[in-house]
Amino acid sequence: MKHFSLMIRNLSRRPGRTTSLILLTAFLAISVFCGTIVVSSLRRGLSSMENRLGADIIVVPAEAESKVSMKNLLLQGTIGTFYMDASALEKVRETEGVEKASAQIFLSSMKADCCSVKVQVIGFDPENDFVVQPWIAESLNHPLGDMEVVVGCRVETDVGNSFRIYDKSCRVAAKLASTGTGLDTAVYCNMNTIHVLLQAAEEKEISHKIDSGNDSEVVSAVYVKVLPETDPALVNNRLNGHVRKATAIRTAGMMTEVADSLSGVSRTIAVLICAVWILALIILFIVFSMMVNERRRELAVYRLLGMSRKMMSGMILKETALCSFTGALCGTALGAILVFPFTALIETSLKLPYLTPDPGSIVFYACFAIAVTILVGCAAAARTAFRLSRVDPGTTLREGA
Amino acid sequence: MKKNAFCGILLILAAVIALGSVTVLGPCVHEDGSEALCTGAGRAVFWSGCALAALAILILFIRKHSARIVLFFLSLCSAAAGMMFPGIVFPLCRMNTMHCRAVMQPAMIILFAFALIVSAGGIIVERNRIRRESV
Repeated sequence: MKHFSLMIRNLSRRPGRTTSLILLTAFLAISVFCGTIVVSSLRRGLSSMENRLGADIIVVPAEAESKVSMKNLLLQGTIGTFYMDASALEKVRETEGVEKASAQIFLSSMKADCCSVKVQVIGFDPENDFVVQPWIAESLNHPLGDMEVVVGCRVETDVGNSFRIYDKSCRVAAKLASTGTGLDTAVYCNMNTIHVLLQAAEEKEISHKIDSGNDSEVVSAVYVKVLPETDPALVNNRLNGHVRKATAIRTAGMMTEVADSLSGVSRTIAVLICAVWILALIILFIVFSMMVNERRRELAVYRLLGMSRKMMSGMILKETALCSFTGALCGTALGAILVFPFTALIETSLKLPYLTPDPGSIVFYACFAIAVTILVGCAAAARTAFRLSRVDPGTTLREGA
Repeated sequence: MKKNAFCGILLILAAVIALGSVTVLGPCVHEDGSEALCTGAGRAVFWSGCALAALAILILFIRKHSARIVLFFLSLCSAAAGMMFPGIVFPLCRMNTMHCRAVMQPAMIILFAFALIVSAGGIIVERNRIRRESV
């Protein structure tokens, strides 16, 4: 306790030095904590996207790829409205190597009085669907009724509320868990509801029809699961040849593209963290080296008063550990304030799937950042502690006189 | 200088809130110029920032400790109200990825929370000064 109060007095007597040490270590802790959280959120987002994307191939109208990037549609929830003849679903099912096929119809609501918010409305067939239904089943324990919608976690409405799309009121039946992708900003409904909404959009003079038919005969995309032990690339080629005016896209290719972007971002973050650490470590070493000269006389007096070398180096290390701990704590708290409230901003800026880790992992990362910062602080101070403990009190005090 | 440290910080925070709410930390802006659902929240945040700034300036010029405590208390209430304006008192847009929810709301909550802490600190410091002077 006596040593502790001596440590506190030593630190408070030099507020400038103590504050700069705390700031430096806080800077280290922020970089470790924020970097770890962002990288792990991106990894979690990618794995969530892989889990949610249950299809091997997506068949879309030929013009869809020029209208909107499929990767953006999934990652950022870019509004995409494109249609093809509903007969494409049957053609896909007839193709060799296809195990399951399920159609979806996309509709974009308007940012106007008729609609609560501009969202991508996705109509799916609950009986045949294998992409959205398993995910919806986690939040909804009854079949999705007519004029009922399920909203992504980023759509700000609650279960039981009504949601207006083209002046048609839909009841929110469930809210989905976060996926970290653009699917979080979509609204899902069954085929009957989407046809009512397509009709309502038509009444607002927003045409969603294709040239050849009416809205009941259109689909936007067909999701395909290939038979086990069948090469998806082969099925993809067959689909491209078999289904007219449509393009088959392999989801694996999209995932690889996302994974590549993710590893690029991770690498950049790692390089930035390394640069911050190298810089901060150099500054820490300089600060401690300067401390050797500054505290030489003070520590010589301690030695004269009977303090052993071991006690003295211990005191310097404890002082550093206390400063590092305070800095690491402040840095981690500041990092949390910077990262968690701005999750949506980070996600939209990075344009990659982003899913914040669970609370247990966050606590682990915070402890990791604090521990690493304290360890590095003490390591930087160890050399100084050793040099100062070797100070000869007689010579030092005579030199200073 | 030390005596006015709290109202100085409060003034800086108030300026950031007021200026931020009409620039980068403001509500959503529709491309067609129409008013977004969050415009009201943006205006409320701007005026509470202005109120905080006015209170901080008043504190700077008032010497009497009891009056300063009252003003710090008012700024504390103003900061607490400001924290609740975006999203609770005034509605925001209904998509989490929109600017008002992704930037304005978290930034304003953090800034008003800091203003609240600074105001509370100011009250404590002024109370201690009254106690010291009475002894």
